[in-house]
Amino acid sequence: MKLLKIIALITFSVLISINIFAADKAEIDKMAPDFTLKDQFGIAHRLSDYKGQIVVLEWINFDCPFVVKHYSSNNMQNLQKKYTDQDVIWLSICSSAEGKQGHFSNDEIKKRIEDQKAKMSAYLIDESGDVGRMYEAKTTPHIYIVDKNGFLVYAGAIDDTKSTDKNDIPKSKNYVSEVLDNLYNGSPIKTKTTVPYGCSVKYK
Amino acid sequence: MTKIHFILFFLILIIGKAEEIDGNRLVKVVYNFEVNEFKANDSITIIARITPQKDWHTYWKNPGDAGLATSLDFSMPDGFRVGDLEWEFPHTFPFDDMMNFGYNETSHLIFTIYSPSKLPGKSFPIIIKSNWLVCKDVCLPGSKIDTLIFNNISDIFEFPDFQRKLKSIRTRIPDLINRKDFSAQKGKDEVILKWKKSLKLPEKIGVFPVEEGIFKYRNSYIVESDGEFNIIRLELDKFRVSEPNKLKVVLVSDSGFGELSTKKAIELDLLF
Repeated sequence: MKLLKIIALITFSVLISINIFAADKAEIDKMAPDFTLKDQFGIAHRLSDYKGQIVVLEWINFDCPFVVKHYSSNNMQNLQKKYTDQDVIWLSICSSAEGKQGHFSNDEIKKRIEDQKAKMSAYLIDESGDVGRMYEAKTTPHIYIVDKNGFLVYAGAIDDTKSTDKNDIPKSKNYVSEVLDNLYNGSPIKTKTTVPYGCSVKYK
Repeated sequence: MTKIHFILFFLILIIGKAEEIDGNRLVKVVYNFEVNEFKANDSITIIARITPQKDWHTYWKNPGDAGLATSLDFSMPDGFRVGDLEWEFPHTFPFDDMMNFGYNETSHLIFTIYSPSKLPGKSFPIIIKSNWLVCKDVCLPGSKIDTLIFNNISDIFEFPDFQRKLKSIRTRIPDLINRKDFSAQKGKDEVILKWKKSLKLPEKIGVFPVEEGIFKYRNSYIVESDGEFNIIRLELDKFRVSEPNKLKVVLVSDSGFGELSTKKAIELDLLF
């Protein structure tokens, strides 16, 4: 009997160590599924390494007109700057498969980021689409916000105006700001899900 | 630079320009109306005919998992108002695990403009800005501004046989069915649409939820048997924006809906 207990304990420890109990699909108010992706410099980023910090996941495709709207207006860069200055980790994830729109070489990614003066903490390459599918990212942009404890607290659109027109941005309600400000103030998050809008993620 | 170099440079410039895809040119929008005269307290029905280029598609009012619905912005003299847009039933555009709803051929939006009791002069413009997203493997936005002048003959006026055309287009506008033969109920992670078998609806039915952000979209749905009823299960999206208290849905069948409607599409608006 004692032997059985020891075996059960060892098995349980092993399962925990290989993270088998971590969620494999994203769900609101549940632990955000963990992942590791490399950036354009080959540096690996693991979501769980940022536990203790708020993390924004932004699905990106620089050539999608909806992404162009938010970058050509500097809306996205301003959000990135404002919140990374407050210790938020901002991970832009590209799930475009090789040969599809939005997939770039590492050098091209560096150039795009420099040209756009983007302020994300890291640009992560998910060309297999595994992380995108795990989060069920549908559009670019599609935003997910993970709180300091690693729970997914928001999934949806960047704002409430479905358009490609940057002139719509000043009159839009920005959901990302709202959620991040609520997290900082300790206020309850009123809107946890919205309908994302944009181009479809160009999966493999 | 020699003459040949100059010609080559010029040709490269032209070819480069021609290869740029312009979303404004990928969709043609034409307006059709029967008369171009308004009386006070009058109404005029207008058809917007929207044609994407081959292999491209535009979007329905619920675009599905991605994309953007075509929209019309109106600028009209004081007192004029526009009624709801009537949308033809859409088609599905599966894309990886996702589902989009829209049109890859000519589609139409029908709307009615109502005039006030006092008209603003002999001739007045109604300006319509049409906005679209047109996609195939990539997406491009586009728009066009049209000025419809009333009380003046316009080259936009195209159909001499407007009523026949309108009737023909309306066969593709879903019939709103208000019958107790249909019901909908909410389960844990699904909404069940139910109807009596005696209605003898077709076995293959396209299902298009009207409201965004509630359901997981599918390319096809299975009609199940449940005693004297047939049912279709619509899976709720786990990221749904609200808990539904009703089901608003367009059903499409190539073989029609028998005694319910002569059209290929019906719309149901069912409270739980």
